[in-house]
Amino acid sequence: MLEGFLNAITYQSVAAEIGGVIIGIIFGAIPGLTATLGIALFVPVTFLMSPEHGMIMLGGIYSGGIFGGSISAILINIPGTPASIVTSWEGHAMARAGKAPFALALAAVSSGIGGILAAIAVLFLTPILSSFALSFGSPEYCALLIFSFTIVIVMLETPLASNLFGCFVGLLIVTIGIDPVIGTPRFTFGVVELYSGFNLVAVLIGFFCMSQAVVLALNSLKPDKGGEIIFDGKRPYGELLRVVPTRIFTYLRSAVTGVFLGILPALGPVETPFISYALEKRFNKRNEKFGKGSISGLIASETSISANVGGSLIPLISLGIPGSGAAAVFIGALTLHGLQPGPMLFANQPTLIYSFFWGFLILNIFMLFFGVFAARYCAFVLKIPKFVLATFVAVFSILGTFAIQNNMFDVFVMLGATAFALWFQALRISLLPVVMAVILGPLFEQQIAVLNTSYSSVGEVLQRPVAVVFLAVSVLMLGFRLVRGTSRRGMPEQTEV
Amino acid sequence: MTFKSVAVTGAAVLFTIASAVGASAADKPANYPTRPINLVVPYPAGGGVDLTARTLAAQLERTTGLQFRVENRAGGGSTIGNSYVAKQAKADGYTVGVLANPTMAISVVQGRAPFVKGDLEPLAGITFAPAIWLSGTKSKIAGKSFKEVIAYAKEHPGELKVGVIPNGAFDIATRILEKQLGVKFTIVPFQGGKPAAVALLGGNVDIAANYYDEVAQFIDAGQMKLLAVADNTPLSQVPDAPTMKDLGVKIPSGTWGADRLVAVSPKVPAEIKAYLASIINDTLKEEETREAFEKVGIELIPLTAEEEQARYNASFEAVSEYFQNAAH
Repeated sequence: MLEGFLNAITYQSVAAEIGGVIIGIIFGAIPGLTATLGIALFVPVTFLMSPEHGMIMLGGIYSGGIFGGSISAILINIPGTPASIVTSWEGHAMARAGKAPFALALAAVSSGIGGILAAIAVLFLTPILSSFALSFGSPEYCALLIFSFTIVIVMLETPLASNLFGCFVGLLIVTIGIDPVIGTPRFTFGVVELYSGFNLVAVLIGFFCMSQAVVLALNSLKPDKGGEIIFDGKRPYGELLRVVPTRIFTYLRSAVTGVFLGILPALGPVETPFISYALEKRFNKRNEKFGKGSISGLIASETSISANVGGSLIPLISLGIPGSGAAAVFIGALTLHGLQPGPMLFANQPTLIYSFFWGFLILNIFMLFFGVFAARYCAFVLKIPKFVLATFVAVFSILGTFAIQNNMFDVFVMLGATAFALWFQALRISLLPVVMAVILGPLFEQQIAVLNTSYSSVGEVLQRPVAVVFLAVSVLMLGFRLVRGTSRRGMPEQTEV
Repeated sequence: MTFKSVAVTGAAVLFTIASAVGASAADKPANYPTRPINLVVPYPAGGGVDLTARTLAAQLERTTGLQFRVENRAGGGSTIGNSYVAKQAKADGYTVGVLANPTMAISVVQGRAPFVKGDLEPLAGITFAPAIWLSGTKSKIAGKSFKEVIAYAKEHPGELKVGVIPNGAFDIATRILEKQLGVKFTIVPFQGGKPAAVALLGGNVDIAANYYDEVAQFIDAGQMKLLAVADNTPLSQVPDAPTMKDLGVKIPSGTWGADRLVAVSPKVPAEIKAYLASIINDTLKEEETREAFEKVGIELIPLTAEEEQARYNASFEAVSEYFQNAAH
């Protein structure tokens, strides 16, 4: 392990760490281009490097890309990558209040801390955590997913019925494609491109990037009300030092959530911040206004994403199982280097693995400092006229969507999703339950299929304690919301009496 | 020697040269290629077929000095990429598919693909990996041999859970096994070999089907046990694992597994097809190519265009036969 640390601080490794993070931030910050695309493009470059430096660089692109997405999320309310959707709510609200430099720095610090905590877990707990990941069967997955749906439905301020409706619509959308049990095409109308369903990233780019470009373009037509985002000119360091130590529990909660979801192969950085944010909203004792620039909310989102990226290294390296699209490309890159991720890689090449893990820790430290001292210069984006920005985002949304699979059909899906998002916005139905259902629906269906064939009775499922706990908490949360909802509505009548 | 005999000899020589030229398919057609040749992969980057194509591209560049690009056209469970190669792309020799059977054959036979068997012409076979069955150490059948597992399954019908990918080679091979050996498993559908392998490691299924390359590490680490091979030829890596022939199960050879092949549209000009086939086959025969594939964990089993055509036909036949029987 010590040798691995020494390997991770040679000048080649440091160059790979810094280079990877910067490349990643650029890819992540451009809406439409994702971290996965960045990794895929740079895989061939790693062939010129030794495996550990190559892996560290790709790790840097992954982490940097995920953080980079938050820069555009905070500044222009457009998540640069799908992982930054939640960050955009709180971060952009802060930026509108004139605190863009603080929001950027806080996002960087939170991202860095999440990554560092995850790296520590990866360095010391990989064997334990990977065996825990294996114990997660279909009952646990189903229960966890029900829990995730519930928490999002309950968390939103919009009416429960409209949240449930959104969730239902989302689940309906993901039934399109070949069903996971007997392989019958559903709602495909003979269109071959629909067999694998709508591409998730295309849908998310439509929901959050392209639709936002349309909104920006519309706003630019209105008479200018003066710059919406004003900088107070203050450097954010003092406030940062004051705020961060008081949020230790938020950091720990979010990092644990992130790592936990990371080690489950099916839940990646896109899903994680929603769950972490909702949990934070539930358990945060401070009287913060979530959705209006809450510090804890931003921390919860950023920390959990980064921790998820770190946590996903555990099944990736120890079992050879990818937790996300980016991780799958990662496995491909390792294999091309002649390294097969899996239990034997750990046994045969411990130095290589530990070099990579230490490298991952160190690159998160670089990312933290880069974010604190340099990210505020990204604010030049705000000086760009809105119509230019809207054009730029639209172009990259189209290019990025096309680049997912070199497929024009995905671009049409993305444009359809844009229209859908604008329509729901007009109806004042929250898009979030739709998004959650679209993201988690396919996994939910697959796990139900497995559960249905491999367990014959409900009693058998109830013997799995982890599943029972998740289900019980979901029921309690739903009940709590129902009770609270009715009592609140009942309040005015009581005062009148 | 008369003038006439000289002329005849000369004509004979010329004829010989001409016919030799005709026979040597390796001749580079005029004006081809003038730009990089695309190897189309119907799966996303990072998977087994992608890895095969990328390794092939690098080796072809090494042997020919030409440029080869790997293009991933994923989606529709490989149907999008397959039909692109078969029908949509220009048949000019710049689009070459690196494809996988029997997945493709299954989608065609089930009518899920907008093309037919004859819309593709194989140029070479790269490798064939048979499906294998594995048991996990957390299962109640841990450590048992294949025959003992079958005996257990006969006594406890439906109790053993087998993880497969629905409608794929793993699924079909398992169902053939059930039918011929008169056993009943609970077949659990997973979306990929990896999730099924995870379920096996975690003790959530008793048996999983997979390819040897994908799980070799778990077998070496003692976390999985190789039960049997869904083919009639023993695995080169584990020659003593029982084959279907050993166990008396009738199964066509080289079908229920992963057949990775190179194919183009039959409309590609004949001289370009011949040229491509010859450079690919020559490259695949080289020792250096074999080593390059071995380095990424792929055992190279090259087949010529004719041999691969035969396997391609056999695969389609076996798949149609299976679904006809399944329908009854």
